[in-house]
Amino acid sequence: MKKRNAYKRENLWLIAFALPALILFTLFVIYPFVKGIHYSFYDWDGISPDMTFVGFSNYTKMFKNEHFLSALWFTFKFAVVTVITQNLGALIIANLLDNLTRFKNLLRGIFFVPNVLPGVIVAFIWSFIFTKVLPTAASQTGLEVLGISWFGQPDTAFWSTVIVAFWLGTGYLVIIYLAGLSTVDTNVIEAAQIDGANSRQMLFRIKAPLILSAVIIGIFLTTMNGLKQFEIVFLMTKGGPYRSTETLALLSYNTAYIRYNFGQAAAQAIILFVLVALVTMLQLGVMKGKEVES
Amino acid sequence: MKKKNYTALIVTVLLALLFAIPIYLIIINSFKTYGDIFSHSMQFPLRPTLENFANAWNRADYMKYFFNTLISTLIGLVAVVSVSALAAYKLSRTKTKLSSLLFAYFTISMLLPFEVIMLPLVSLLKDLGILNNLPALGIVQASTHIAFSIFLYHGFIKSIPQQLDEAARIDGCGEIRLFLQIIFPLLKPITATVIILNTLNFWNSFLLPLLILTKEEVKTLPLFAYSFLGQYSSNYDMQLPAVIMTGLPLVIFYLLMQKNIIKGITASSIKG
Repeated sequence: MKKRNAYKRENLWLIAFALPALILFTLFVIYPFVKGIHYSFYDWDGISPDMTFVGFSNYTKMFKNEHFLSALWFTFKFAVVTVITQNLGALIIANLLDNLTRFKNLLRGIFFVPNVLPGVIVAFIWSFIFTKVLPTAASQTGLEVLGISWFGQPDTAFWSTVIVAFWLGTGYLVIIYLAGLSTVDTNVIEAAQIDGANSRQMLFRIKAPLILSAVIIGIFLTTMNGLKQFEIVFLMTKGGPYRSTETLALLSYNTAYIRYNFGQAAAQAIILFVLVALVTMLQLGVMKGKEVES
Repeated sequence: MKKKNYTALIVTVLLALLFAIPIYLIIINSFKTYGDIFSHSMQFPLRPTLENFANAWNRADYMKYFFNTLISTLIGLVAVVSVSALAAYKLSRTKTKLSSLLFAYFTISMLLPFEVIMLPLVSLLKDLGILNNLPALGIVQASTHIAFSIFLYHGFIKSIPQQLDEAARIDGCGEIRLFLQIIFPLLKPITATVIILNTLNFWNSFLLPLLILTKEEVKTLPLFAYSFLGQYSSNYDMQLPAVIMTGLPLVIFYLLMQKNIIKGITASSIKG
């Protein structure tokens, strides 16, 4: 009986201490999420008081809509390419930095700087480079390939968003990988060197598996950022040309605030959530399994 | 071994230059006349001028946007630190089923992108009548970062021995005083991490402010840059100084806090 009272008392203190966080979190995160699911079953313009219940039709219509399907495909493609390029780039850069004895902190600092800039500024810097600097460079050096209209064709617009995401996101991962690499036992490295491992084998066959938990975090973070991408495409390519760089998050925003179809936009946002939840859970499951094995 | 080190250094320096070039180009061009930006965008300024900065400064009340950003960021930081530290302390100390349930309730939302809750959140804020309200922006930003902050605190509090709490209780210390006078001061390193990582998030936040701050007098720096850059589209001599002035506060913050930022990112990722 006494034990049960102690148990109850502990829970009461827990609730008392957690209450402010619980209220704010429930009101401004969970409630909107539940409300979003609710909206997704209605036909609603977001302003007028009349909402019509339409069941699953916002969802079924979506999968026949070419703009939704192309946004889904772009989001997927963007996520896969940015996960691969950023993690590979960060692993290589971190490994280079790890070998340095001098200027390590200064150089690491340079790779990280893009992270502290607001997205508006990042988008402007790269618009300036793609539309102003590169064409000038092309005419001065004769390298005409630089002067193409980067935002004019779907293919080059896609790669321009990948380049910006790389510039923006790699520095963060470098810090994570560098912290991982600093824990690798030098005896293992020396043993591999004696066995004649070249530097590529050393990085991908020996070091990368040893810092698997850092790699898992890197892949998890970039997947999340890739799937929910909004700012780069909203600010730099504006989803264009011909809506070819529209991500799911941007599509949902445009559906709500340009086409005033809140029900449809809410359904698109829920699909984005399902996608993020499925992919990240799957990844964590697969990788945790791997971690146990090794 | 030595030779290899030099090759690594040269390759890394070249890569770092590649990363720095975009910012370098923005800086050098901001000191050029409109004509020179067009004809010599790659060159170092031949006739450097501060006129662009003076013009951009005079066209906008930059300090107003700066203070708006500062106010909402500071309110958000105070809110997120106080409620997350409080909650995480008891979540970490209490070993009941309710405690693990609550912890799961908070942390599972880290899989929930902000873009998913954006529309209903804005409708809610409209219904509550707190659009165009800087303290409200701060509180809402704090709320969307509570899960992440509780997660950071939770991991750190586990490393503080529980005997400390028990000793204080035997001395007759109440729960609230115990937290405020003994536990919270011990959380200083992780509080620094929570503050620094959230400062980057709050200060640069764009989408939420874009949707809820529509009046000019409450706009934050990223919103100022967004409308200013749109208004002076292709007037690079106006845009470039505005870009630098908008980016500068956090670059300075970064230069001052670099060590702590790196420690914070490392800590937050290892705990994951």
